[in-house]
Amino acid sequence: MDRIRLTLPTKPEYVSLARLTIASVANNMGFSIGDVEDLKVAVSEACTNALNHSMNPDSTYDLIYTVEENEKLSFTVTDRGVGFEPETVVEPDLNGKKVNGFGLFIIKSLMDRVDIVSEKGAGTSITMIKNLSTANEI
Amino acid sequence: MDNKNRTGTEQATMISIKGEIDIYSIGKFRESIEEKIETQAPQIILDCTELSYMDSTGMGVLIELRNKAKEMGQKIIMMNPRPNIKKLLNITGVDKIIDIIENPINQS
Repeated sequence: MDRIRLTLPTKPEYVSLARLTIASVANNMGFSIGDVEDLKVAVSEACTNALNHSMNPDSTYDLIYTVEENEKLSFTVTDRGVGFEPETVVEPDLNGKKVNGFGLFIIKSLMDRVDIVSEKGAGTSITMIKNLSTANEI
Repeated sequence: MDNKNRTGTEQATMISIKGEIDIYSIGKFRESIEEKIETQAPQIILDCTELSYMDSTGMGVLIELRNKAKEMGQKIIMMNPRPNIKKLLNITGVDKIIDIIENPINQS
């Protein structure tokens, strides 16, 4: 099992770095092109949430990859922001004036497992797991 | 992100969206697209052939634009989105409110 830890500045321009690193790790592991795209979206959504909603007073947040060879990729985005109650997130209203709430919905749709640990005033940690499929899906 | 190109007829305005739309590029994207959709054309076609990445940030703006356009009696159409983007439009149900078309001439 390998572990990679990145500390990213709480700035929008570095979210693409999360996508680049996950694509590299997932390609090395043998994920399909479609799965790599899904992983890029999931990590990007989690980082975007850390930037947009956490009100993180820190100048950084953390991204940790755990590589389980031939099995699965697990990754966790942790901020030290205000925290939230995951069950209070409402599904997005497509006809609304301002459209929010898609991020978590997309992550849950694309990943095999999602665990959210959030504490008010202490921050949020979201762990996403994608199993390495043996099917030759593109 | 680059969406400079626009060609228009009376029936449709065509806007080409290129590169990546995420939390970083969304400000510029919103600004430039809002200015470009100020048109009388009943159809606004977003050519997504060269759009390589978009997440919920971009979709939020597209939905807002679609809702505004609808109020003005206009329709927003996405042309040639890549499979990764089409998948997101599908799982979020956005493909039910924004038409998606494939134009084979324009596909790479």
